Formats: sequence, C-alpha cells, structure tokens
Amino acid sequence: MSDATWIGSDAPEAGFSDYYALLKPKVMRLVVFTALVGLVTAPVMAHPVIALAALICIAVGAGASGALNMWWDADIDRVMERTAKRPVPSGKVEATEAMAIGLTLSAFSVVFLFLFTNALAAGLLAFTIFFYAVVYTMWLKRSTAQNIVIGGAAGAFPPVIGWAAMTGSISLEPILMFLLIFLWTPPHFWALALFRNGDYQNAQVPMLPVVAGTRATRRQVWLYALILAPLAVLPAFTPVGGLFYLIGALVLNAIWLAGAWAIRTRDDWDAEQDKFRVEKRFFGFSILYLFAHFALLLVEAGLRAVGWELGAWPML
Amino acid sequence: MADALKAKANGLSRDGHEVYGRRQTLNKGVGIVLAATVLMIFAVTLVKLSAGIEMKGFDHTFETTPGAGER
Repeated sequence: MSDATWIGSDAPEAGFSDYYALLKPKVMRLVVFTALVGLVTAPVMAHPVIALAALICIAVGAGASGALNMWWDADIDRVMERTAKRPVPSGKVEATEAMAIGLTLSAFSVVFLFLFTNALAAGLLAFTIFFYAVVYTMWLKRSTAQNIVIGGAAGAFPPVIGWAAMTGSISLEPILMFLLIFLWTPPHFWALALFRNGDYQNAQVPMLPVVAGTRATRRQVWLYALILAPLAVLPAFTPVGGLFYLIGALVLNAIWLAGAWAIRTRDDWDAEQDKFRVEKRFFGFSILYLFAHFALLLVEAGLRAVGWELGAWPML
Repeated sequence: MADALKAKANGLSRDGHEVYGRRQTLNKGVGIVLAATVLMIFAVTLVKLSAGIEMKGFDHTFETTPGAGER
C-alpha cells in the first residue's frame, strides 16, 4: 500500500516574511519615523528604554491596522495591480488569519503602550487603529471620493502619540506635525491616482480622478499643496523648530508648490505624451518632502541637545 | 536507504521538502518575536523599578480597588 495523493491547497504556504508583509512595512517605516520625531522633540524625555518600547508599540499598532486593512480589502487588492501580490490576495495568508493577527496585535500594542507610558498615548493609538481600520477601510474608502482626505488623519496621528507618550499631553507642536501629514496625504495619493487611475477604476474605488475627473483632481492637488505650504513652515516658529528648519522648509515648499502647479496646469493629453512624468516626479518628491520636514525637526532637536540655539528667535 | 535518498531528491521527504524549511523559518521568527517581547517587558520593568515607581498590588487581599481596605 503506497498510494498517496496530494490533497493540500495549491496556494504556497506562508512564511515569516508573508506575515511580516501583512503589517505593511513600508507604511510602518513612515509611522516609526514620524513617531520617533514626536518622541525626540518632546520637551520631556523619558528613559531611552521606555521611549524605544513606546515606539515599538506604536509601530505594532500601525502594523495591526495594516493587517486589518488587508483582511477587509482583500477583494479590492486582488483586482489592483499594485496590491495583487499582498499575502491575502495572493492566497498565502487566509483573510481570517489576517483579521486575527490584526485584532491581537491591536490589543497588545494598546495595552502595552498604556502600561509603559500613559492613558492618553494608549487612547490615541486605539483611536488611530479604529480610525484606519473601521472609519477609513470599512466605511470611507468605498463610499466617498473624500476617502483619502479624512482617512489621512490615521496616518497623521503617530507623531502626536509619540509626543503624548513622553509628555502625557498635547500642545501646538504635535498639532502642527499632525496637520503636516494630514494635509500632505491628499495631494500625495491623488498624484498617484492620476497615473494609476485604471487600477482604482477596475477595483471600483471612488478615488477623486474616478469620481470627479482628472481636471478636478489636478486642481485639488494644487489647492491642498497651497494650504499645506505655509503650515509646513510654521513649526519653524515653535520650540521644536528654528533657523535650520525654516531654511529647509522654505526650499522644500518652493519645490513642492512648483510641482503642484505643474500638475495643475497640465491636462491628460500632456500627461500621456510624457507618460505622466510630472505626476510621477511629484509623487516621488512628496515622499522625500515629508521625510525631510521631520528630519529637519530631528536635526533641530539634535542642535538643541548640544546647546546650539539662536538667542532671539520669533516664537508663536 | 536508497528509497529515502530518492524521496529526498524528489523533494518529498520530511527534510527535503521546501515547505519544512519555510515552516522552520516561521517558527524561528515567531520564537525571536516572543523572546524580544519578554525582553522588552523585562527591560521596561527594570527601568520603572529603578526609577522608584510606586508599587501597589492586591497582595492576597480580596478587594476590587487597590488600597480600598486601608481606608
């Protein structure tokens, strides 16, 4: 008796890297970085071990909401070229498994952040996970073209959580950091949607170019970029900013506005001629733009730590 | 012995099939994550204790609010 039949599933079994991919490591990188800036720039600095543990909790919380997003959005992800290889749509990880991992890690990250730091930080982390997984993923994403505008709040919370973890309170500085990410999100994603329009159309996700057309989207990219630019410079005049931040922010925002204006003044015919070169360049620059602003705040914190501060500097 | 070698060459044996390699990596990964979690809790506990955090537990007393029986 040696007759054997393979009755397993055709889908390849998941490895550790597939479970790690559930947590959206690329998004987590931005979350970790902005949360780190919130932690480091706060006027009260906890013990480095506590700060590191808080940072891990925030990262895991963000990863958990990513897993919940992948569980809920598996049907959309399957249709879109950009997301078809994710662990759930590719069949490596079961959707329910993604949900279980998401819920477990959410609970662990919030409880640990509470035990390590304070209730405000833990509450904000819980709200962020809820906002991303329920308000954005389950509700807004499939129902309104403003999905990315309101949903962007979820990505904007990490520096506020980092700040709250250290100080136990919220002040103007983390609010400005929040606004920086919040207002940056729409032009960043709409620039992507302009050259990935077909993807969203196939998946029937009501992104702005799908619902309102590309002309309106181009106008909105410019409007949001215009509102963001002065707000992005404002942290220079708070205790976390300074001359170095001001110079950097002015340069970054000049390029930012020039890019947004270039998108605003083009139409689809122009874009198709050069294969969306301007939109792609603006999208790539937008990532650098956000990282650079937070990196400048980090540099300012470093300069303050070594006592290199200007005597007289206008403060808000 | 020859059969076992042949099976291994075909990728069917317990040692040879790549699925076992992947499972081993998964098990190791989960192990490292759990060990890191324990280490993190331990390190935070040490830091908090050495900072002189106030410790108050239930300590074999049946009470729903710590310290309620002392009032």
